[in-house]
Amino acid sequence: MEQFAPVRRSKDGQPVRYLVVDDSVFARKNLAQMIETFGGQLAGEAGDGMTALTEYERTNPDIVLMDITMPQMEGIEAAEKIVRQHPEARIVMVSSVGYQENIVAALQRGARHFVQKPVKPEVLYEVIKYVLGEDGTVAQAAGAGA
Amino acid sequence: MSPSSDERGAELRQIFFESAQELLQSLNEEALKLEKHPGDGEAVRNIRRVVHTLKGDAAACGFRELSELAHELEDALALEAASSHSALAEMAFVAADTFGNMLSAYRNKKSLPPTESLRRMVKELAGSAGSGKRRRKASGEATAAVVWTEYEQLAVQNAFSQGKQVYQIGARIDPQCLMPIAARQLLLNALSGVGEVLGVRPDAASRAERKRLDLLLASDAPVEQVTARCRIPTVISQVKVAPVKGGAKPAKKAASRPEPRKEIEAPVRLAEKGAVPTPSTAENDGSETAQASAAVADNILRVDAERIDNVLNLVGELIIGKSMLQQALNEFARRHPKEALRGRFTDAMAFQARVLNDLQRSVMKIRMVPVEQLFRRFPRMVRDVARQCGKEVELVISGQDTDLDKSILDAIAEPLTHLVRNAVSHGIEDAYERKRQGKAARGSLHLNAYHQGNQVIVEVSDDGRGIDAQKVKAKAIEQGLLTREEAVRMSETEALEFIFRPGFSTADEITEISGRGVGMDIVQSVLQRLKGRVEIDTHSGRGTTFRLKLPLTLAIIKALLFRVEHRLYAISLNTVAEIARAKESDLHQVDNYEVLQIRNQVLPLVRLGRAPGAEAPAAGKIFVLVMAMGERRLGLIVDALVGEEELVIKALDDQSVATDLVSGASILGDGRVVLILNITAINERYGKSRPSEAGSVASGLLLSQGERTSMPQRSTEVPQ
Repeated sequence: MEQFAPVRRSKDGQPVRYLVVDDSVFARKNLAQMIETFGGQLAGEAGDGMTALTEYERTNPDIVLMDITMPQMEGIEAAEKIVRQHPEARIVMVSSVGYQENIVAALQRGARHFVQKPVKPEVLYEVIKYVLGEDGTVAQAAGAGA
Repeated sequence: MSPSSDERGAELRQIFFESAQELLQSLNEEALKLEKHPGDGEAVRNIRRVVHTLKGDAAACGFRELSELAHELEDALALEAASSHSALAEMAFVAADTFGNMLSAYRNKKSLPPTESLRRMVKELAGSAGSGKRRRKASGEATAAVVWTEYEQLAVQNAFSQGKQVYQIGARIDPQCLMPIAARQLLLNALSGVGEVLGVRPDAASRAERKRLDLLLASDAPVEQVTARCRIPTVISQVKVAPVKGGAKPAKKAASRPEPRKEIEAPVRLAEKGAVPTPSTAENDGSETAQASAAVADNILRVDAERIDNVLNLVGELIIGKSMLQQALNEFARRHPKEALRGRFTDAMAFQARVLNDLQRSVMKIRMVPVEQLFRRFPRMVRDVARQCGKEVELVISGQDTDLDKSILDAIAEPLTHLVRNAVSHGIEDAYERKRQGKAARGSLHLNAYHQGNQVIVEVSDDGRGIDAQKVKAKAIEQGLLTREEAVRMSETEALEFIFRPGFSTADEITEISGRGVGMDIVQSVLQRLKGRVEIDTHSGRGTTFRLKLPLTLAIIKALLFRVEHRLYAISLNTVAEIARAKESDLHQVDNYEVLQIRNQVLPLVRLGRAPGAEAPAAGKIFVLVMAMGERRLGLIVDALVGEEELVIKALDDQSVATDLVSGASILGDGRVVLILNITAINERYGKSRPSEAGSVASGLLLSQGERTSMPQRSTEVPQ
């Protein structure tokens, strides 16, 4: 499970760009490392919902990994605001089982998918591929752990 | 995380341990808030959030026990009744402690500490709130065939009448996915793109968590497309899509009512690929303000302190290099006074010096951390100690933004802890006593920090009973540290110094100061090591202030270089209050002390070289460095001043220097080694010592013999 076949953007073959939003530095680091193993690129990080909005505008990422519980602005609200401005935004909620209602709310507001914490790389990888759909291409089909 | 990647795991764990400390700190802070304002929903939410994050992080690191315990706690906190529970704050405190113990056990790879008390509290909380809603109570896995309501069947008929296909979808939720309700929502989202969901089981209101979903979908799409839509990795593991024959399974009750659910689907938008992004013009409010916090949050680097120390060391070497260059330049200027190149050298030197200065300051800034990092731990401690003693103490913290070198901050943690603890347990009276004295029942403890010149001052002030200097004196006499005669002459400030003596005042006869001695010697010794000072400011009945005066950094000092007996010494410029010139004939002898009168003040003197009166060149002019050590002043007689220089302190190990009179050494630009004198120790030893011994430190002895030889004759050894 060490390495995953890199997922690239279909349109230009560039690495998929991620925005990671979580108030835990640790969680961000953890996700960033996974992203790296997926051949992705960390476009930005945010520690709260407010920052997530500005970071989204700044970095225009392909995928947002969004925590639910954060100071200032919670993940749901941030997701909702981003989707309202950018319906194409691909937001994946990242949270644990205890916040299921919040995830449901986020999904109702336009989040594309969710992964539960603790995040397993193979799960996240599948989710990423699914969320990207045709916009993502797995570099060597043989290596894909699907 | 993949188990094979050990290194990555180790790094993550390291980050986890660091961030977990911060989480525990906030847990403590929120618990304090909650204790002050019971029922504070915000605090409860924050506690839950912290516990939640800790749980997630711990799980990701594979610390299962911690994660599970946090999970239980989080669950209990989620109960509605929990937020009003009175024992919640207490539980949060216990949780912080328990988690802290577990963390250090993980870190040191020790066996885990007991967690029963926390578990018991959690259980009690959950139990008392038992009537509230409970999650995770699956109401039986309904295995019965799905029964669609009449209304749903109606909708099916309606769809048929519009010429649509209706599919019955059975989906199994991936066993790894623990959030069936979220899974259900995701499936609904996915299907809303291909058609219209007419019915779902379990329905939205149901809190039952089942592993199976059943749906009715009206769609124009072929069965393959619907099936594909339902294949959502990590969420849906199996899917079966069967077209509903025109009224086969659902009972047919043809009625053509308008479809009521049509509108509901609209907001659930599942954007199609290639959707045109709406320009983001509106709703930019708030994003401006977020910019600042974004900058703060995202630009923080965690760097190993050792790396910064390395850089600082290199800067130190550069500074030595600079003075080498300066000296070479001086020499050059002396030899070729007419050389035009001199000016250019000088300019370049000045430029380099300025950049070097900036560089040094920048590196030092990296090492600086706000005192808050240290102050944060005290609210909890003050609360605990106050509770133990049955007192009410309010802690006021100010100046927490003051920056201090990390190593100094770490070093003063312990002394500060002693001071705070003592202030609460001994300085501040209990409520009864305070009322009797006409004070507010609640004592107040003030932690403050601020910059003063090249120093950082950290203050611990209480409004308690103060320290009675007379009683300290009496105690000192009793312990044989002081004669009655000396006691009379001794100032209160001097007398208070006794409380820093190891073992002093541990006896409990003098209740006012008993216990003040506990750890006080640590305060003193740490401060000495840091080349700082501690001052006491106390007023009987009104309180005590301990003032820790600390250097900004340990690594580089501004020093005054001087010569005694042709030897070069340095002292920290901080301690020099003024420099006086005097003739030998101006010096007087009082009580075997040599003194000098400066502006109506009598200044006791210490000679680093000759013994007093020993064949001094009588007419010679001398310099007297006036040292300010708190209240105390002391004159240092030196032969010549050399200059002021920034010295990079190189620590000396105990083998090379057997005296505490020297605190370190440094290398000058020309390669000479200079010893940095420890003024505090010199003052201790010679400023206050018995008159018969006073004023006779041979300069050579600092290097060779240690303190054993304080005989004046030693000075003859000094090479002339």
